[in-house]
Amino acid sequence: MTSKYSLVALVMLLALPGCATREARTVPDGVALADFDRRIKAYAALRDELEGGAGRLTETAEPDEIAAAERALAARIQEARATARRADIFTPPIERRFRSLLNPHLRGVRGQNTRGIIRDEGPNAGGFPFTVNGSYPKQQPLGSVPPDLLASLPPLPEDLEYRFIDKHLILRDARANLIVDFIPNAIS
Amino acid sequence: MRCLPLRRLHAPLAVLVAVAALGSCAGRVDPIEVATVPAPEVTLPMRPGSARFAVLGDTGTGGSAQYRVAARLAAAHSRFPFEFVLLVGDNLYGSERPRDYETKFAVPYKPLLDAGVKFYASLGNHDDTNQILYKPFNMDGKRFYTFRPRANLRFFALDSNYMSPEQLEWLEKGLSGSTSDWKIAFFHHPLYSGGRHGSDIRLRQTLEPLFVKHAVDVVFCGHEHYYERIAPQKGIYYFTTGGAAKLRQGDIDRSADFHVAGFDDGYHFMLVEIDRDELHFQVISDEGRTVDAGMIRRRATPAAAS
Repeated sequence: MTSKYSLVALVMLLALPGCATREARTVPDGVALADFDRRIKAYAALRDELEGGAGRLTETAEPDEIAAAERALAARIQEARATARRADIFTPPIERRFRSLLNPHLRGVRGQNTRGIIRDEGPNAGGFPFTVNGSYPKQQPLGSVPPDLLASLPPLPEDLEYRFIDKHLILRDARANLIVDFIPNAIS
Repeated sequence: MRCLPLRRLHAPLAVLVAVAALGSCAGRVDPIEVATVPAPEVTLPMRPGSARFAVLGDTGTGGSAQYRVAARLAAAHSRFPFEFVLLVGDNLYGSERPRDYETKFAVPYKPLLDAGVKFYASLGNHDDTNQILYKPFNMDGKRFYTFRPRANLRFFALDSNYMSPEQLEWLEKGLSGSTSDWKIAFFHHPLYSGGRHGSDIRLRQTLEPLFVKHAVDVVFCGHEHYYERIAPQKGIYYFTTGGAAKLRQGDIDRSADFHVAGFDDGYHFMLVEIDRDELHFQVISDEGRTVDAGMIRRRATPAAAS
């Protein structure tokens, strides 16, 4: 449970008023990405630890069993991250860095095409309600991130992925089908 | 398999699915007989002992086009009994609830599944990673994997959504260690494409050197909702076959210098036969028309030539 306490401590630290704002003004880009890497790896470690207790699902011909395993893991993570909120992972400096990585892909004709692909192949315009530490609705399509854009974003631990819901960039835990964090209006 | 309410299905397919479902529930219908569409003419040589398979891409809509192509494919199986099917990604579009695995995969391909045809899936950009756990996709619980249906034939299924260093290391090791004559890769994003998405240049820069170095012969991809055959690139043959349930009409840029043949007027599937050093292919539309066909002769590798 060390990871759990570490995460709670991290959340409390970031919740201190003004702390994140001061950081946003002073943190260099490289430091922001290193911080992102640390935070996302901490999440993945917590997820793996919680999954270890349940035992990872192996292949099955029953989709219901896959869904049940997802829900069981999600419930453990949701409990462990009960205080999770937006910007726990995408802190203001990290969010700012992500926007600077995304923006070059969204300019001009190329940007129009990129937006078009995200819009056409993802959830309907306007998206749907979602929350940090909430499940990605199974009845909704998974919006993808165009390859060029994806290649410009920091790599993620296994089974964590970037997705778009309308204009919002979300960080999704594919194994637990959970929304870990998001950047609102990332491509607005 | 559960019996599904027919009201969710498109009327022309209701009979097909009804018979399939009856077969499922009662276990007394020959699955191949449920294909009510005529079998297409098969021009492949069908030589004794050859390896035979089909390739489908961008399948999982659960819509009438998927069911129509599936029925035509099942009918083709009666004339060209292929052993397995490659799925080049986007296996489940839209919702991915447990019942979607049925309506978007198990039901439309039931005649083939019941006939013992195995499906080998790769992940597309719209697929949930947990599909790797779905046994009928034969992914062995992995995002990337390999299988060898014949001694002279090895397939490499890749996850082109994210080409991790781990995956590249695995691929290099697998390719370099393979003694099979034919090395075939399949994954979702095309390295060469005249379509809306275009060529995935970054992926090409990453994968093509490995394919060239280790003499990969053929690559099958999807993502673009049409069929396209690419001129051999550095000795490698590329096919884009992403129109088994979705279609983007008129999307192919035929002026691209790598473009050889294409079909963007209808849905389609591919049949492939490998016999010694020859790979024969035939692309068939949902209406049963052959829209492309040909033969590829495997390059003589240094080992094979010696």
